[in-house]
Amino acid sequence: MIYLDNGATTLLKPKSVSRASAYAIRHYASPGRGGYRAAMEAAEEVYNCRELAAKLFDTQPDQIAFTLNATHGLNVAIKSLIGPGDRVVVSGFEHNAVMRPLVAIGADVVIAGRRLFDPDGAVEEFSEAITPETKAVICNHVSNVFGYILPVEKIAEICKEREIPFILDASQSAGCMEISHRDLGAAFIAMPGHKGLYGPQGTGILVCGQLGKTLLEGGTGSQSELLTMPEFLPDRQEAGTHNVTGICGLAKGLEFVLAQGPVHILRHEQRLIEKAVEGLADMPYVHCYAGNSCTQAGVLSFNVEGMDCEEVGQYLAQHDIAVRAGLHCAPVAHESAGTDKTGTVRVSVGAFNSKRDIAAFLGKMKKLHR
Amino acid sequence: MYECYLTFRSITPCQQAQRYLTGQSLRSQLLRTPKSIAFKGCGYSLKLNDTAIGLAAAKLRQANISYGSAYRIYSDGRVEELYL
Repeated sequence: MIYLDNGATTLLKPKSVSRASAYAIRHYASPGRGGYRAAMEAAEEVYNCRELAAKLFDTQPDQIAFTLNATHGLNVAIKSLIGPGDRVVVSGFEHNAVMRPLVAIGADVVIAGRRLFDPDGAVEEFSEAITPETKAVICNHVSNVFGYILPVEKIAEICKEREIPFILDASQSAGCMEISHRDLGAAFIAMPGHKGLYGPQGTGILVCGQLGKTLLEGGTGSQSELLTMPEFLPDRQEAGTHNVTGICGLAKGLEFVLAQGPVHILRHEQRLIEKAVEGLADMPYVHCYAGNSCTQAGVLSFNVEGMDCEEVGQYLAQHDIAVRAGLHCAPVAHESAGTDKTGTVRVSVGAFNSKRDIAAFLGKMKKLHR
Repeated sequence: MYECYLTFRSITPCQQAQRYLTGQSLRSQLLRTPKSIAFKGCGYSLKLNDTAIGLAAAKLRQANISYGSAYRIYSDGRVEELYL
């Protein structure tokens, strides 16, 4: 199989990831609950993962809370800061992991920056939309549909100046872009462990700039005489037994990313996307949504004239090429780009893809209209 | 005879403190807080040498790593809180 659906999950991972998870399931007990060897060793591995994440995201280990995925982290962040009727400014490229909680809460959602691959325009629109009444700003770092790199550093700067909490959705950027929690001053940064951090599914990280409300309550192995959740991190956001097998795998994924360097991984992915765009440009029946190396990461959307995106996805699947078609759980992003009626076909690459994968994909695309 | 402990409210700050102290060449043992000094239920502690506990506490304060309290537990079960 040629796997080009890394925006959903990086299926190709360092071998050390599955080895670490397999070792953990055989040897580790619950961390932070006992004093015996299997529990203490589990706790050591969990803390090791916190330290690696803290290093990658330029923060302190106790500000790293483990979650189930990015959606879990975003729900904690959003429900900590936003209530019914509160004004929230979001980008025009948000995923439903942001939009659905906001709609469920009944927030007053203002969308800024809807033009694709226009970061300067986005900064201007955010600056206008953020008013003293704004309770929070939420921004996707990289669009999961178009790979558009949003100018989150500048948006975070505006938030800092105006003392408005900033939430970053780093679902597509964690692991392939430099993210400094210290520099951004974000209230929360949410991300999955199973995409650009190369960890197993069922893992995620919420970088916490503040305590936040609890989404779940339960045992933490600390302050057990209290019937309320601890008022300190990370325990407040980590009710119940940790996903130790997942976290051990995630630690190996983080080690891989730290060794490669996010900038190196991004450049590799961008080269592959550039090659795909060049190849698709020779096919007049294909329309690509392409930016440049400053505005697009390792994700590319396209459509084929006269074909439904799902048909294209199915055709590629029949040739053992894995891509994703449809709305990608991001109808707002499709509305912004004018593809909400059609959807798109999405190619998303990772560190383990090669030029050969792109060549194979292009080869099948050439045969599509013959 | 006695043993000296710095207590922590949870395992994560205890681990953070132990790694910091190890980096400062101060050895410690991480373990469950003994019942006699676990006044707020479950917790973890660092067991240190009597000669090292004062320096360790000072270094943690300097590094803004907070600990709960410091104790000496005597072999006959008596507990003495240390004000370091």
